[in-house]
Amino acid sequence: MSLLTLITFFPLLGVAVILFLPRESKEAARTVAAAATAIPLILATMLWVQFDSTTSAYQFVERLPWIASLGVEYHVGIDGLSMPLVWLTSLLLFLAVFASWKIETGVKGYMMLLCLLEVGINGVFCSLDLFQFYVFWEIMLLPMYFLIGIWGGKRREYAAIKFFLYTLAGSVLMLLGVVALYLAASPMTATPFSIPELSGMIASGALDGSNLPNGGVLFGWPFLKWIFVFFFIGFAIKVPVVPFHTWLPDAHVEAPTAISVVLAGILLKLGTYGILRFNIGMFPNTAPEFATIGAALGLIGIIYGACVAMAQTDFKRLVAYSSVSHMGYVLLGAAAFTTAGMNGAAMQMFTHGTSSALLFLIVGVAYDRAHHREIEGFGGLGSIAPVYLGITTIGMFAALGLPGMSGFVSEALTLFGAWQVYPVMTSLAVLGIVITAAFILWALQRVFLGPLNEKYTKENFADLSGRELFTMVPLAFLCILFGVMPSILLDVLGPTVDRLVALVGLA
Amino acid sequence: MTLTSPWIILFAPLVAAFLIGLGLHRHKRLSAGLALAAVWTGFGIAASYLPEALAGEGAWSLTGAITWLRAGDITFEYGYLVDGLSLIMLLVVCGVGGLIHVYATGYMKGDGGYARFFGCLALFVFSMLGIVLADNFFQIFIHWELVGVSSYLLIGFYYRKDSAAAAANKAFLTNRVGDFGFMIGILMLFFATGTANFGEMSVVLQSSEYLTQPAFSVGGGTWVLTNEHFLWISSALIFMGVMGKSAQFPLHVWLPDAMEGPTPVSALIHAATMVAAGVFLLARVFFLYLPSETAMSIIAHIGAFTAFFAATIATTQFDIKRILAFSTLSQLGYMVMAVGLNGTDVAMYHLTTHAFFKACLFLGAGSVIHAVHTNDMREMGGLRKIMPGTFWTFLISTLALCGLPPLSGFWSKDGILHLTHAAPAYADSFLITVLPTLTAVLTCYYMTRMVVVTFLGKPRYHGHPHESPASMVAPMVVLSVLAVAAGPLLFTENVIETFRTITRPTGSGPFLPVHGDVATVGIALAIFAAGAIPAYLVFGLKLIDPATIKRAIRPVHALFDNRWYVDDFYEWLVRAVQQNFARLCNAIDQVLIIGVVVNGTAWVARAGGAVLSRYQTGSARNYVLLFLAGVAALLALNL
Repeated sequence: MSLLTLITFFPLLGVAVILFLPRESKEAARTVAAAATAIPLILATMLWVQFDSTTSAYQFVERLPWIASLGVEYHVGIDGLSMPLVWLTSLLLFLAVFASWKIETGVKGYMMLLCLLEVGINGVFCSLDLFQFYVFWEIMLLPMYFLIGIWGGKRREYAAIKFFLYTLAGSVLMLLGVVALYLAASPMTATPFSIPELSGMIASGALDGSNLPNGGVLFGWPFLKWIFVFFFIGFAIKVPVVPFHTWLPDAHVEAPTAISVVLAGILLKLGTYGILRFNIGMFPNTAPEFATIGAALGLIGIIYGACVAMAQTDFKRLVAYSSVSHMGYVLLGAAAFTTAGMNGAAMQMFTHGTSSALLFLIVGVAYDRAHHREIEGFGGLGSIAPVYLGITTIGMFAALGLPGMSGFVSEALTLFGAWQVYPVMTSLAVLGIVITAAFILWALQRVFLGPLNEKYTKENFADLSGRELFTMVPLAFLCILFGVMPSILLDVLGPTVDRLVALVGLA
Repeated sequence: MTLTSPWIILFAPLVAAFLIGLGLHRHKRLSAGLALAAVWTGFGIAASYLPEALAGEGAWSLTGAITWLRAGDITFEYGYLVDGLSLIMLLVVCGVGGLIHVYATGYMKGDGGYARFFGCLALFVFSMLGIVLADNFFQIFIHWELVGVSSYLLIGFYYRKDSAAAAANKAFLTNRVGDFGFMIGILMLFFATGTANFGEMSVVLQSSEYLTQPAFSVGGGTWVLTNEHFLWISSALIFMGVMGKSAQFPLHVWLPDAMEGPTPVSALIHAATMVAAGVFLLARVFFLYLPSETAMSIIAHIGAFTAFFAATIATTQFDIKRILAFSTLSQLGYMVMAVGLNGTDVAMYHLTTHAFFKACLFLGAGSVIHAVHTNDMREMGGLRKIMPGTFWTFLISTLALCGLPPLSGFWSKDGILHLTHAAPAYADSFLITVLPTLTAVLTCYYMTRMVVVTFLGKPRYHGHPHESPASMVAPMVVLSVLAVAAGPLLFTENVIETFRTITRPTGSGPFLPVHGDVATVGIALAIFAAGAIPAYLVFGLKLIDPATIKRAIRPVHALFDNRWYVDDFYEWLVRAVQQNFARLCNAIDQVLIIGVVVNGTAWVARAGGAVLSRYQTGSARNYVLLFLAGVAALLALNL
């Protein structure tokens, strides 16, 4: 059995064990979940160690027939783009278990869903079969829906439904694309869902929908252009690209801390991963037609997200909008089709995964103790919780792209790569780093600095516990590690990114 | 990466900061000792280069680099470039910095954050040395921002105070505005020359063929931007970074507020080193500005205006540190102007002498504040007898700042004033020809006022102030000696000339020596008298009541006292424009969320929810099965 299969499905074992635990054994459920997510993390670390970063080919491939009549396969494999994300998923889900330690209602169900969520996400990243990709994509949606809808805040049902509907709308378009691709490809191959095969056929021009009625042309647009747009909208909702972003703040605000961590850290990256893997990797001939639109959407996200973040009074909402802004860089960098830009985009996915996860953990700590998230309702917390202030400072500076932190490298690469192609848009995007610094530092000041708000004392607002430190320190460490030694990550991304750029360049 | 000595200079403070941060902060003395050891190690190594550097005239240099990251066609290096220019800067940063470290061991005694202070100080020194040693734009930008953050941490050192936290934010954000231009400038330069390395870039720019080639063409060649024009735009943008760090108008607003930090920080960062980084950068990348008269003219005018503007404000303030802050702004304006007038060597010389006497003045101010527990000059007075060490060092530094011959300030400032009259291109520019001299008069006025009000006259302080401990006075003595000696007492004109030769970038303009002849000395004395005598008449002898003058020139006084309303304008901008704009964006978002999109989907949600609720068995497994069934059904339908 491939390492990937093991990583993906191991948490199911956790689900099974928790299922048979007695209802009242909360501690056991937590422990089992911790173990069920720890093993994939260890395996994913082995994956990173064994990963061959000299090639852009898929590695750790496993391919078995699944639904023979449709040509559906069980086909997994990773390249430089997906491997770091698999590792990040495994890390964040493991940390999420500890960040959820204090959940007391429905612990069993919660932990089972968390494990199931990991299966779905890692399944998406490992899938090389489109059908299988779609199945995992949907599997992932369900636990998320319940985790927000049952364990969320006051307006949890509203937020969960909204999350569900938005994502579903995207999924439906994507499904349309998948089915259409299947119809076009099935006469040519026995495995019409295989992502590498589809990519090859599209790149070579063999698969262009001309075998479909009307030559695949609909309302004057060729077949591939439609599929591209279907996929793009499906992924753009996930990223989220403005104006599809409005589910995000609601979902974040209502979601429990650990779920926000996973949402910001990983789920958003599924959108950009999809764009890189499919919109660019599968449709390299169509992608340049939409490049300027993509870059513009990225720029709008960067500036608009930051401006809206500036107006927020809710700490968590502020961090949520900062994600909208930061994800804009991925789009901008990717749309430039330069190696630097694409490297920046791919790296930003990872670095934002660590820094935004850290920020949501930080917000969670404040909420746990004060039971509110109003920025104005805090003040001077640094004087009673210095360790908390220290970690927050690291997280905040990582988010505002301080050199020495990972976000700087990815954003700088993005800007260098994008400037060559979109000088004006990129220069405007630089404005984003000023606005981001402003809202982040103002938040830091209002929550942590200045005189202490009288409501809080050392008794009712304790400094970080050992468990909380355990969840935050690894993320803070990663923010610094990849800021100081970015080549660890860039070496892995390199060949795959080069392949993507070359694909478009050939077109 | 082989461990050559410049790496040691650079990384020793980082190691110190790291160790202090990781756990040594429990041991106060050890933390301070580490920070001190790191900065003095740097000084020692830098000093050991001096004989070679002087012997090599302008040709001596040490270089080294590692590849930091490579992404496709872009490679970022991290290296060092030690030449005459950076060597002088190294000596200033480590030397003056080292003295201030010593002072801080006394000044910070008893503070709860003693070790944290030294940790941040070491981090700052590392960041600053990175700017000094950098051999490429990318690295300098990294350290530029790191200096910003260490300054943020130090200004906000007393973070429980609202004003300190706000000042720290203001400093960081103002600098980010400057860095916004800096970053775009770097992007443009990288695009235009294909490199970020200073040496390689200057080689590219030396080709006149290159300058006339188009960088951009729009509309099939109807509108062409040549590299030459492209370069002046990018170099002007890079100057934005300088305006942020070296606090030039209109990005100067953060520096006076930065006085919220502990006084050693004001001395080190906001007088001697960080704010000088901008001037250093201009000298370092002078090759960029040289081909462009427009860029040079922008620099000269902004510098000249800043010098005058800040000096006028300094005349009305009462906070002893703020007066020094505005004075620093003014002097930085001089240095920036000097670069714009093609006098980089003079700018660097003034940077060095200024580091000595201004650091000494700040340390003296700190010593006074330490004694009387206030920053307000109106609650001081008569401290001369009680604090003789502080008084005399303060006085000497004041006179050096005023440019009284033969102190160091005379040689450096007069060098700059010479430039203003030697530039034929600006002969009809009032800003360049008249204002700098007027600024010199104002400088003598406000400095005399400060000395008189603080140290002379009747005591107005409370409690029982006493002289500061030796650990604080000794660095002040050393600095005041340097403030004298950096003039011709130690340096013969030959040495000064060598100094200027090694700090002068290639291609820089003709060298204008300062002579101690009768005319020059006479003018300097006249300037001093024009500023100092009125101040002494008003504040020393009290022949004229300051309130009368204030009434007589009320609108002008109000303008100066309110810092020309620049801060108020920015506050208005943030409050009225920026915040409203953010609210507008938020409102748009609310409309997007609640209005258009959601009302549309709400119906679907309600209807869907009604159906879904029947299937809400709470079992995830059922859901997965249902969904898979759905997918299969859809597929089947399409088949």
